[in-house]
Amino acid sequence: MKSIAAKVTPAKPANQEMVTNWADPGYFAHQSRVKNLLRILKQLVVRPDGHKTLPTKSGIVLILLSLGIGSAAYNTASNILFIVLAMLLSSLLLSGLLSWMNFKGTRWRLSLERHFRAGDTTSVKIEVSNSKTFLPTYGLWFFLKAHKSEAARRLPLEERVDPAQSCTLIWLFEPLKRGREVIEIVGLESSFPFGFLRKSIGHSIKQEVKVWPRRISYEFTPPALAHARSAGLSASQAGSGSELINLRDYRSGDPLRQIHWKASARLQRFMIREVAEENHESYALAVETPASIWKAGEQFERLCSVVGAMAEDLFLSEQLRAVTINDGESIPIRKQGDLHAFLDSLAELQPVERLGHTHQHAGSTTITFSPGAGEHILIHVGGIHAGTA
Amino acid sequence: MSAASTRVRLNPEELYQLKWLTGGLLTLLSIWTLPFIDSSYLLVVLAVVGIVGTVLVYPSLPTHIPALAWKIATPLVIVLMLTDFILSRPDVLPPLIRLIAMLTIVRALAYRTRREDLQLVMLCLFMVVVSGVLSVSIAFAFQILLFAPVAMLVLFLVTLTDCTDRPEQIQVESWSHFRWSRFRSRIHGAFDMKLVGFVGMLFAALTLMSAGIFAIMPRFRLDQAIPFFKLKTSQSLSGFSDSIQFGDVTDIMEDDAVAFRVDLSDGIDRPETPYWRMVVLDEYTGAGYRMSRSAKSRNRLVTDNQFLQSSASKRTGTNDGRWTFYYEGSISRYLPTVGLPRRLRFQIRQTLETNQLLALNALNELTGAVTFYQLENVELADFQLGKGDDLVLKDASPVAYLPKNETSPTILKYPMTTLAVPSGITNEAALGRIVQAVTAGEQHLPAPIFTEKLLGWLHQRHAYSLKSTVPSGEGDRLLRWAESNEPGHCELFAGSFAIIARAAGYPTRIVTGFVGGAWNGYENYYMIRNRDAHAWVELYDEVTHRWVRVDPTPGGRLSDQNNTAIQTGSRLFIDRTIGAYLDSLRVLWYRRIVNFDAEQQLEIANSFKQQFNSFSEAMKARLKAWKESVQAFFKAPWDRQRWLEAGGVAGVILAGLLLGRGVVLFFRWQRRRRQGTRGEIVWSWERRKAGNLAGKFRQRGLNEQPEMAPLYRNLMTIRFGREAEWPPVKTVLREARNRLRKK
Repeated sequence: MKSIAAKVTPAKPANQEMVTNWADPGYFAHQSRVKNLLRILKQLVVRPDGHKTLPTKSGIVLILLSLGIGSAAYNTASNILFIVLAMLLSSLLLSGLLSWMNFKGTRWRLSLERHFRAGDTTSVKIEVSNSKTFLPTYGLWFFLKAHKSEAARRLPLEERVDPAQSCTLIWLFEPLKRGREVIEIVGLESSFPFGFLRKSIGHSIKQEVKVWPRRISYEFTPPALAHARSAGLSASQAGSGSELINLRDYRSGDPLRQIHWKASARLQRFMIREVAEENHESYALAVETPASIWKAGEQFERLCSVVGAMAEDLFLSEQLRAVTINDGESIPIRKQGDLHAFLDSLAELQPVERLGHTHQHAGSTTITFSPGAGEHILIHVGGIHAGTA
Repeated sequence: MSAASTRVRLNPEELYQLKWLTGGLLTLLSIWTLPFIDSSYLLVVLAVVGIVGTVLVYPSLPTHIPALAWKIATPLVIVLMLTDFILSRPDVLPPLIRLIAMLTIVRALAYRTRREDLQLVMLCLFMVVVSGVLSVSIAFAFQILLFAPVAMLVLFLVTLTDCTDRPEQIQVESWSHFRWSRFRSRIHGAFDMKLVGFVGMLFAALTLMSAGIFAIMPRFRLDQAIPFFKLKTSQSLSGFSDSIQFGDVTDIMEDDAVAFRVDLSDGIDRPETPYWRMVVLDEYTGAGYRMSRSAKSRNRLVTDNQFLQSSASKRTGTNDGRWTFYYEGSISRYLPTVGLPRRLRFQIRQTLETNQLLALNALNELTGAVTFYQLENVELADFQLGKGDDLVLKDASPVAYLPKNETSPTILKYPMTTLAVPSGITNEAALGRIVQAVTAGEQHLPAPIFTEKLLGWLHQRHAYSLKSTVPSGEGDRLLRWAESNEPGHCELFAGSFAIIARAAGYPTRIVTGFVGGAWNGYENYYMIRNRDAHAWVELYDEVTHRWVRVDPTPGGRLSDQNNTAIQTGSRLFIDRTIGAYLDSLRVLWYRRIVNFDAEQQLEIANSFKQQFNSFSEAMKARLKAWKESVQAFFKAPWDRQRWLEAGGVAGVILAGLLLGRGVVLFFRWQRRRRQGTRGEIVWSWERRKAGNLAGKFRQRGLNEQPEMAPLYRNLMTIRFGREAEWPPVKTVLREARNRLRKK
């Protein structure tokens, strides 16, 4: 896991990202200046929750030095030493003041991709914004934690953030397991400005994100008979047909003729029409996970992975018609959102104690799965063995 | 968000380079303080400045030094310095300073890690502090004011460079592609005058805060304070030692530097020509005068913070004030005093060599630092009390005796040494001739009359000149000069007077010190320069049992400025030159900072209290008067004129309020215009509607549904976010309403 340098960018989240609310040190909670002033004065005496100020090693050295010089000043009555002591003490005070000013007006939030995939590197972003009108923000360290993956990271703000500017810190993170991952900014700290005091704010921001199963390779050779028997079944997904199934943001490379001009004008950004592809060679995926067959473990994870991988591949080749999980209804997959919802379900799929009924996969284009030897997974189309993973 | 700042952002490598170069600058600033401790460090400092300066100009030079050299540098320095410590025993401070200087150089030249940067700052701080404590110079104020911001900048840059994942890599790679031209342009690009101004204000605040802390820091009675380390020096002006040769005092007069300053407390009458008495020399050696061994044997080492000088019973007309002396180091061990002081007081305990017999005080060792002391209850007398000398000197006759050479011991004991005259037929004959010429054969003249006659004789024959010639011939040098008509300097006048008076039966001793001085017109204190060095005589009056001061040197001895002062009607020269102004800053430093103590703290506190009391009294009186005038105004009958007046006042108040509000709005508008963005409108119909819809979403739990999350987020952005970040408002609101309707 590694991080890349902070880049100053406008703090506008991409549409495919989830962002949390802004967090700040909590210095100014009121609209009234008087109340804010009183709050600050109170905070000088009573430490706010989660706020902690401790001396660093150099701070301890400074304190010991101050004690030494103070002791020498009193023993020798040397006013020169008293001057030095006064300078040291006032630099400590100034250090605290500047540290406060550095935090003031700084706010941060998490910005995550909507989905993670186990085994794939993904970027966890912290947007740092400086809402001060005059002073830049420097030298912050953010503590990040991924609970399920048991990963943690101390992410530095390497460059200054100018007033009314923001920047994004990126943690390149690789989730290890599918499921619900909680990414948390556990807190942040700073030794700004002179490194004497380490001020930390234990302000937690959490964001849950679903981690899709890891992609694995598999062999899949559908029997020729299958399509012959499935004539007439079509997959309704983005393609070049005429039925409008979705509107989405413009992406680089999209043909201009697919821009939905009315929607673009209304939303003030380019929107692309997605129309259904007329396709007659399609499959339905049916996943059944009775605990009598599937035990939680490596093989079950492999099942989830191969189902996810096949669903994506079939969708991309416009051959995925619908999906079914256990007792659930058959969900038609027409657009990318449908596929993502299915992958989200796979992220949390567990063996079930009992199934209400076994699907009668009458269709010869229904893909089902069964445990193979060892950790392997057998893939069937219409009950006929069609591949292994 | 507004457009991105055009100010350059220094990357971690550039920050590291800036930090390293600033550390070098800090080294130069710190090493500059060493000559203030001892001028012998000047060559070392020049060498260091040369080396560090060169490396700062060519920062890639240290890359050519083999890694092994860096590894062994610190142990080698430590070994060398341990040797230095052993060789310099028992002195600790000089080898310690040398050690610190060497370690600083090693740290300044090497590419530093965070820990080494902190070490460098500590070493530099040590040098500045030690220099300040040892020299007590006003230069310390400037040094610390320069040192503090640069040290803080280094620490600031250390913190910034530490805020990266790869500090070690930066350290190694940083200098391979360093170019000054590019670095300068990057620094210039990152420079922000407004920020620099803000930092300047912060530093001013830091200085004020330090001054405040310094002033309020509790001080205790300092009687038991231990003196700080002192750097001993062997250099002193030869004219103020216990053995001088003719010409030594005159040599000092070539120097225009200030030897000491004297601050008088309120109520003291300022003497126009004070004599600052330092060394008493009782024995004539032929080539000069010295303190006899028997006189020296009365020296006593005493450690205290106050020393009794003379008893009250024999004193008259004492003054209750204090004379505070700021005595420069390296002048002499002997402390200048004036008149007959009751007590000599130091701020802290001091080991002093006192000689009650000669009324002398000397530090037990010569230091390069300024010494501070006070004389209390000084009687401005032109005599010193004889301490039992009358028992020996009563009816004593001159003794013809001269030591074999300047270093051989005398067989005479004090106070008989004060009657010793040159022996030999030639000398005795010459003395006889001179005494006869002075007294015209009269015997047992009272001391004042004899003094007058001898001064008249000397002044008739000799003029004052710094350049004097002693005629060649047989016999004693002083006697040859006395019988000639050659001009002479103070030592010749004093020396001749002394032996002639002795020959006539009057015990005499030579005193060296200073006379006069200039009065600083800015801060009102005496400035006594080396050019005011002088020698005079103390003649024993057996009637009064006093050693009476006699200055045989004619008035022409006084320096040119004193001549000018005399011509203008005042004998004391009042100095209002730029030099005097700069010198007055030094005295302010001594008065307000170096000698700041609990007494002054109390004075400040009392002054504040008085000011506060007077201010509160004035405010009370003003409020009372205002209240009465308001009451009177309302009680008086209301006619048209008064209504107009009241309306006018109300109008003025209203106009004032409106004007104030207008100024505030104007500045806000200016700020927004500069930022190029409209101000945030906190309350608007868009925000209100978005807030309402978001509330309904929450009520129905729609905000929890993943497919509704973007819409809900957009609503919250409109409700609380900046306008610049708003999504299309109407679309979002319409969509939200539709969703609510469908659900």
